[in-house]
Amino acid sequence: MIPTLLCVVLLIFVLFEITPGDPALTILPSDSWTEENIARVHKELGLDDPILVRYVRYLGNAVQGDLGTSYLTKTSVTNEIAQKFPYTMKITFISVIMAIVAGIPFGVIAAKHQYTLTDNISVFISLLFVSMPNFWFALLLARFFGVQLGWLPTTGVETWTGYILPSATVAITSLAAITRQTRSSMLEQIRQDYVVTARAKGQIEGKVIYGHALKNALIPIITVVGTNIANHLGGTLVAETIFSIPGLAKYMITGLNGRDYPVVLGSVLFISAVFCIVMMVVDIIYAVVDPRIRIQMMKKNNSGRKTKARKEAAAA
Amino acid sequence: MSRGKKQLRIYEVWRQLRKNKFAMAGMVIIILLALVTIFADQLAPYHFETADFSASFARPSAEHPLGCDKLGRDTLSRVIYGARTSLQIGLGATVIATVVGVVLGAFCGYYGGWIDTIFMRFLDIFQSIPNLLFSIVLAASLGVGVKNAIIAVGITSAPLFARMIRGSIMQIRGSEYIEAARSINARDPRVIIKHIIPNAISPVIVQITMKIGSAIIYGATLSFIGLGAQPPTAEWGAMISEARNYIRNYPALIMYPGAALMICVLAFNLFGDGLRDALDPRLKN
Repeated sequence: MIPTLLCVVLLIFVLFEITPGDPALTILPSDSWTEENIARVHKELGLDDPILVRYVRYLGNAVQGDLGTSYLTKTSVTNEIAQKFPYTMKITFISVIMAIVAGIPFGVIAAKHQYTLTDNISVFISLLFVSMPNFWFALLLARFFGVQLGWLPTTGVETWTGYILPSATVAITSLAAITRQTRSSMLEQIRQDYVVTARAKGQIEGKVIYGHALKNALIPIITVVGTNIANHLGGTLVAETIFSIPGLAKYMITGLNGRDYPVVLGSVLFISAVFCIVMMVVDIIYAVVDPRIRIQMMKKNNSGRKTKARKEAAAA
Repeated sequence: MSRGKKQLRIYEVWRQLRKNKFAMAGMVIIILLALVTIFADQLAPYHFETADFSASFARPSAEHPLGCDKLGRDTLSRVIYGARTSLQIGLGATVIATVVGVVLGAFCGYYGGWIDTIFMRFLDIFQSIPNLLFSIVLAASLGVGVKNAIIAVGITSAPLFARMIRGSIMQIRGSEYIEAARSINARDPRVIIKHIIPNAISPVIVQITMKIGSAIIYGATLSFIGLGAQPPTAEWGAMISEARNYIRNYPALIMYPGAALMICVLAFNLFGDGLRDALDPRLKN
């Protein structure tokens, strides 16, 4: 994870280095674009140093929790992110929950009624959702629930109701993906012998489906949820701009427009770090859900320890 | 002999595909879209830039079947021309992603070893930044515009392609007919072009079709945020972004480009789904 993040920072550094644009020009008012002024600003910001020097300096500060100071607002990027991230985090989290809570039952129902009208409708709706651009869906929701019915606020998150529309916006794409995956892995499980056995011994149908089949179908579903977390983070960026939520996305896009490097770097670094951590958590969840994986991991560790012990013994 | 076999395979796929109603619907829509894109100049009643201030926010009428926007530009014409820009971004980005992905993936998958390790680590880094975030950063630092949006979306989608192609090539590399080809002293390029690519191609084709849809969405999203197509260019995402300010009184203005966008992406997804089932019956359930 750490090497990945180091490279992410390097990547953005190089990107800003090779693309046109000069932060000095956005800081200075356009009537004072003289060479001395620009040179002075470059010196103040430390942009005169070679890229590697700047990179190492940035990392050194970042390790101590200092992501730099915004060129334009002169505020600490770390503080700003700490203030804005909770919004982004909440929307992402709520939307993941929404997608799971709605997606899995839809998929199970579709699988139970394979090739019937219910199945076809759910397959078609999930395809429709995959094909729906987030931002458009957000506007439709805002127009219908916000303007037409007046039930939910369309801007800001002063009350908890403000989170509903943005999270729903973000949820749809992965909801569809989860439904599709649930359907196909449930179809695989439903035909297994143990399901027949469970039914034969007179188990309640609900328990057969949710207690036996779904439990075994869960691994690929978790994979889909995990890989879709990135889409959730991306979708949250869009939802924030539409519902004017003061989250990370707005901050980052303002930073991009002003070539405010520390702001962009800090935001991207932070989001990537969160994403890496989430992926690690997903790996752990695998082991929790599936005992087979847990045993495999333990075996691996044990054999690792054994070879290490053997090597040490040989060395002694 | 080999040509006859190839034709047989294509025919077989087509026969499978024809049975799938969803896929056929998708294909028909794609063909219609292609025609609309090609003949936009003939089909559109007005040019996309023609503004008529007396028709500002005009309701649908015989002259303007879908009404007009704030500047009195014909919505139908703009949706038609928008197909051109949106498809351009989607297809352009997919071409970039495919070329980069196939070259990189084939190279890594075939040679393996430390080259493979380095490239794959590199792709890991790309993929640890959420796709949309990365394309936003790329598009913004390259500068706004359709061309840069294409590059941004293309580069962001490339790692996924590379990874997939590498996977299927690694599978094929171990098979006996490759060993046979090597044993009669076939050179690497010949083995790659003659044997590996034809066998690895079907999952790639399916992925490409599915990715066109999401590339179109990404492109439209960039335009919506203001990083892609710039006014007065007609592009569906940019149109929705413009219409957004009048959503309270004129919601129809976001409906048309949005619906066009959704139908277009849906068509590619339906067709891709059908193609996957036809190319690989094992995946069907």
